Amino acid sequence: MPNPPPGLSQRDFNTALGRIEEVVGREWVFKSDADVALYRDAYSPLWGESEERFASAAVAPISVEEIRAVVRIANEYRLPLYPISTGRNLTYGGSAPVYSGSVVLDLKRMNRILDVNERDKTCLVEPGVSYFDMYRHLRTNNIRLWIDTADPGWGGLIGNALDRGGGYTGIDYRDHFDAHCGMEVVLANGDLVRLGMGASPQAKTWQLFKYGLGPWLDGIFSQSNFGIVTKMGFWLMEEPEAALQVSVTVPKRRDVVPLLDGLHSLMCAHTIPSQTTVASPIMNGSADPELVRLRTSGGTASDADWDRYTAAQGRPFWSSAFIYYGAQKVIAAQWEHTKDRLASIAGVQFRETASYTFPLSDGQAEAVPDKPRLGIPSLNLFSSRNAPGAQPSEGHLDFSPMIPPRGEELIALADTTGKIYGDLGLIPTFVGGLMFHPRTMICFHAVPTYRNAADNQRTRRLFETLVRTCTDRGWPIYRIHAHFQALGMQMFGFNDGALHRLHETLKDAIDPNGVVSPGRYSIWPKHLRGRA
Amino acid sequence: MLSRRAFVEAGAALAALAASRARAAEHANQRAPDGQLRVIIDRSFDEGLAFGAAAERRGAHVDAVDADLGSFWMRTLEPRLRHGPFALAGLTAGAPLFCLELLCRDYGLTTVYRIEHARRPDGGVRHTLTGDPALDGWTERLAAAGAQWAAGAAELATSGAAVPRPTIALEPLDLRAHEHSAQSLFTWMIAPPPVGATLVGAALAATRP
Repeated sequence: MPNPPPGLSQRDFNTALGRIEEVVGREWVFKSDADVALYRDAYSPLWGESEERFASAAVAPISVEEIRAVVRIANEYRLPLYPISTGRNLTYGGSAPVYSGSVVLDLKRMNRILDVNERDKTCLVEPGVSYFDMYRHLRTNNIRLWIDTADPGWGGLIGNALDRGGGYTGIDYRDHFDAHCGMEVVLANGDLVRLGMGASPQAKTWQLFKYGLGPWLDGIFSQSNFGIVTKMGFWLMEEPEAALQVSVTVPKRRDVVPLLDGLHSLMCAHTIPSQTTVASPIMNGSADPELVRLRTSGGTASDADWDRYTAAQGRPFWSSAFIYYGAQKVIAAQWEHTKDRLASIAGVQFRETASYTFPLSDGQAEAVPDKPRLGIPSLNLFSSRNAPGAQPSEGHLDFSPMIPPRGEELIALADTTGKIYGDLGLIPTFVGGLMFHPRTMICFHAVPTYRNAADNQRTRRLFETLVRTCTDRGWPIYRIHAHFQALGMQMFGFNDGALHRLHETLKDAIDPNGVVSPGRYSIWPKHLRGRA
Repeated sequence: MLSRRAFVEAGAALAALAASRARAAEHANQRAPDGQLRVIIDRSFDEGLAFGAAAERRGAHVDAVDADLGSFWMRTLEPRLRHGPFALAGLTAGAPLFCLELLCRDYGLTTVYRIEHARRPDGGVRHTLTGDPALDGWTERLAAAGAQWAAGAAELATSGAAVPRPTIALEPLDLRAHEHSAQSLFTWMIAPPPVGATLVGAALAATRP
């Protein structure tokens, strides 16, 4: 038998698992070391150390009723459960529980696409449905709707949305939590609720109108541990007539100021509909000593220093990529207007990188180089083989600060984090920002993880310094790896941690026994506060 | 095979999902449903092509993939695995192998062995095996094959009436551990566990329509 979670006797643990076996069937309760090891965090920053987090067992229910029964049993024994959908969100903790010893509630068996409504452009899915599943379903059934996929695309719609992940297509779809409409949740006491219009059983608008009547509660089930989401509706994008992918480059470092001002205006006006990336071909992962010196100077390198270096490389300092979707005539007008708006930046260059008319054949879809921008799930992020001399990019954690979409902030962030990497003897990894959301920019930094304690200690020091320093500068994170969630919530400590107190007040009311994901986003049940 | 939509609409899901892990493992033929060992090669590399050609000559079904494993997984491999797990072997770079190791878990497959082929400064290749100790002699045979090691690796991977079963639990490939040989390629085998083994993926695979 596996070891029980802390505070639970072996006898009670065995009894609880035995009763759960009666509910889900013996074959769906996994207790062997080999089985439990499959839920290990492959990118754990604590790999092999005593603090590494492990599951004690796993349970795979098939239905909402089974989940409800499992939760009721868990309440009797204060058995901590850790629900996962596909569990492949590696850079944020994978499927390993926040609280070591929790029983993973593996929802992969609940993989039904319950509804796709082509006329309403909506779907309703269970937690085990992956982006691959949904894309394949739409293609196979010749449904002219697109998903908005995370990248890499091996995750699931519900898990990614609940973690507030993002994608690349239109504004109504790429903020995955914002794109949901309607939710069903098993609460920690085993009760079952439907949110939004779904609470009115005959409503024809569960996947069409988000709010329902009364307080809108959906948000408290994201990045949290107040319940187990068993169904979610999503809005899907109607396949457009055409798409045009473009890039805009500007030559100098400071050019990012007018570039971002212009792009932000165009996005707010819905002229640019897609996720917009602003990255630097110059600030790459190269170990060139001059580049490393500039990047780690902490801002003492001048614009002139940077521009001299850039000119010698023969490349622009910034490159922006985005895509237009819609009728070809409209796209042509949008592109012309974009060029007009940005033409005043000296040296700006505009390029059309790909154009598409839809539908694509399977072969055409296969050949798309930047698949997520067309809603096609991909694993292209895991490139085939590293370029000669390049550092491997896996595994890593994502450090994900959010900044206002202003060039001055982007430059200041690059200077700040570049120095932090440099001080620890590391090559900075930051290359640019992405506008998943309409009015902020997420600036992913890859923080390397290893399978040895010495390197991981440095990783943890780096990560913590990044979080604290960037928060001080006004750039807190939007999402964080399970190991660092307590640190992350500390950064949201206005009024002596009032937000965290509210979270725990809710936890006490909704889940007094703390059976659902204890510790997730630092929300602990009373009996584990200060002890876990 | 029922389509997912038909499966759902028929309300057959719950009834069909009573298959046990043991049954899933029994169903886990060592070879693909058509009796062939599935071979996957990375066509970006000459070594991958050489491996594929040699495997094909030996009667294996070969699929060539490129940098994006996602399309191959979504369109080809996962639909096949839904009929039941089977053994895979191949020669790829590390990152696609890492993806395959994680994705195949959901279908009850685990890694039997990996052989890292790391290019040495003198132009030679160092072969290092991780996995079943019974296969240790393979690296010497690959070294003896010299520049033809990729074809030799295909011969080893496709030899014998039965492919090896996983004998020890291997963690997913540690890509960072190969920091000094980021150009390494890997010969590998991913296969179902022995009959009756308890493995989450084998059980979960039995639920997929």
